[in-house]
Amino acid sequence: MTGVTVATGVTVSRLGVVVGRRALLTDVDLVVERGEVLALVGPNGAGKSTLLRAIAGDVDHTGTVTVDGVPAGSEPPIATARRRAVLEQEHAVAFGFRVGEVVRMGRAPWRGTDRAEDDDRVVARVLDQVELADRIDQTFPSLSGGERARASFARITAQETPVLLLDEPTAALDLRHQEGVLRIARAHAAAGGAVVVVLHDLTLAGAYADRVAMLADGRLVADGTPAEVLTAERISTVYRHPVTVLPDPHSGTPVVVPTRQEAVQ
Amino acid sequence: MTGLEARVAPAPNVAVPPPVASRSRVGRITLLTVGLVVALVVATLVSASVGQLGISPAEVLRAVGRSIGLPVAGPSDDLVTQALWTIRFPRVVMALVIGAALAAAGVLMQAVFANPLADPGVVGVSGGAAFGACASIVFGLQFAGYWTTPLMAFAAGLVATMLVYGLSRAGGRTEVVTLLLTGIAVNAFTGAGLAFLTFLGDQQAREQIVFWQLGSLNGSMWDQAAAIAPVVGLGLVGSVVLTRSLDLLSLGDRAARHVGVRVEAVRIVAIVVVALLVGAAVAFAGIIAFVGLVVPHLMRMLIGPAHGPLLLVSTLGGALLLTIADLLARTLVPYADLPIGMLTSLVGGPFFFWLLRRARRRSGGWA
Repeated sequence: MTGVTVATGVTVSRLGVVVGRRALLTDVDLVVERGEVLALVGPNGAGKSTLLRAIAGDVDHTGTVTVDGVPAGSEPPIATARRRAVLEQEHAVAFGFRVGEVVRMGRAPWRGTDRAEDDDRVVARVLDQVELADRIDQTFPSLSGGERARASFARITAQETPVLLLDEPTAALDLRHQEGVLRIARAHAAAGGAVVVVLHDLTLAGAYADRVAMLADGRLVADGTPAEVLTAERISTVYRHPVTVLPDPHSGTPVVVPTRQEAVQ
Repeated sequence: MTGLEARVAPAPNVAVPPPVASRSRVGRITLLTVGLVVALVVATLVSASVGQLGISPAEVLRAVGRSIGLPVAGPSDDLVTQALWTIRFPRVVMALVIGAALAAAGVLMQAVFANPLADPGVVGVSGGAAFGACASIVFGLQFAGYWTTPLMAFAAGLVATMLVYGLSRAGGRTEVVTLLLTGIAVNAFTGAGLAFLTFLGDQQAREQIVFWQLGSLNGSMWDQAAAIAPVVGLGLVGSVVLTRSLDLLSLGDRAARHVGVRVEAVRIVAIVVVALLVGAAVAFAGIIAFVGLVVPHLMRMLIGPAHGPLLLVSTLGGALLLTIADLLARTLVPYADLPIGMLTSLVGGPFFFWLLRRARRRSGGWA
């Protein structure tokens, strides 16, 4: 927890999102404090990305959302861009911009402010963090899928906002870089930021999140510490697949193992 | 300001690398800009010299110098001076202005559609603008006097641009195939409109319509240049203002908004600017296709996609291309003035085809 003068990272209350006639989210309440990493988990179509987009201010919704203490949509986009950065699932860039140029686009909200002086240093630092420093002059479209995901992650960390909203940042990444990206997210929280991250890998969520919020059919079904939320019974019910939850031999965090009868035979 | 403590402490051993790449790119941009300006001056001089009446570049310079009040030595030939000032110079200036306008419009369209194949001619904006201009001729519209034709070209170009924009975008991006098919539809429609106008018009109006469709700088006059130059100037200033936002648009609509761009506002301003530029280019010269496609593409290959420098060199490159194309149109066949739109399409068509092939190979489909 951070000091009294610091605004809460993200608050969501009585949030509802309806697209067409379909309710994508119903009555979601959530608070993410500064210093916290919150993992959003749930089966496909549960509303994880929709919730993240609602927090990012991308979808119409009922209820209220605040980011960094400010109601979503109450400020011009440039002011919001200094409070929260968003990593989307897709990382396409039109035209052959170089990796360094793409990452520098993350500095756009600070143009014309004192902090623009940090641009070179920040770009170098975030590229180094995702191990792409040697690709700075390569064009973005020529990167592999995983490298693009890391470069995009570097771009949104270059934005240096207190709140990070990450939609499946580990999806395209190998084991080493999955851990690397979530370590950076953890460090961001440790430095006083708030992180909301959509994850499919429940073991990763258990290892890196302070709190886990589980969604199913557009509703929040659980919200608590990884140990509280990631129980074999709840996961088996929500995901409709039997799982075993073991403690990690090193850290004791929950390791979720799907039961695989077919594989045994 | 609160909320800024969230910066993660820098890793201890990160050295800030010297921006070698950006420096070499700045060098390239400077070199290209200087090269284009020199080429442009030379091409302008040559274009003013060559023609049915041969005039030496020295005489051209003398004529220019004399008219701006410089004490120029040497003989003065009234016939030469008159030919230069009433025929050659207005035409050269029109080529410069229209080339710059079309290339800048191409840069903007490609950025707005996040698609390197967008071109005012290909997607039907030029056709729409020509339709507007022809309608004003056939129906004898004079509501804004001399400005009626350019105004109608602008209005119809704006409608066509909006139409293409509205029809071809999905999910914040435009797929190549959707864009091209929309272009075919819009071109078919404006083609039908032009055919109808041809049917309606009298002999004189028909000749003018054919002239629009072929595209030509024949008969350029000072008052035409004076009419479009301020419009193009305004369009170019608008383009310059937009360039930074255009860079960010290449991240996609949502990501651009996430870094603070007012996406819809940028889009609408860009579309109006495109309509201004294309409307001005088409108003007196007709459809000159592919300049907006070829020039930004070549420039992007040379200096990369950043829109600030790209706009600068594309504007110069477009002016250069059209000056050379006009020179060829006047001189390739003795005593004939070829339609310049035919020439640009002759070169642009194969180039476009090559780009399509390349795009398909690269992205493995119609991405």
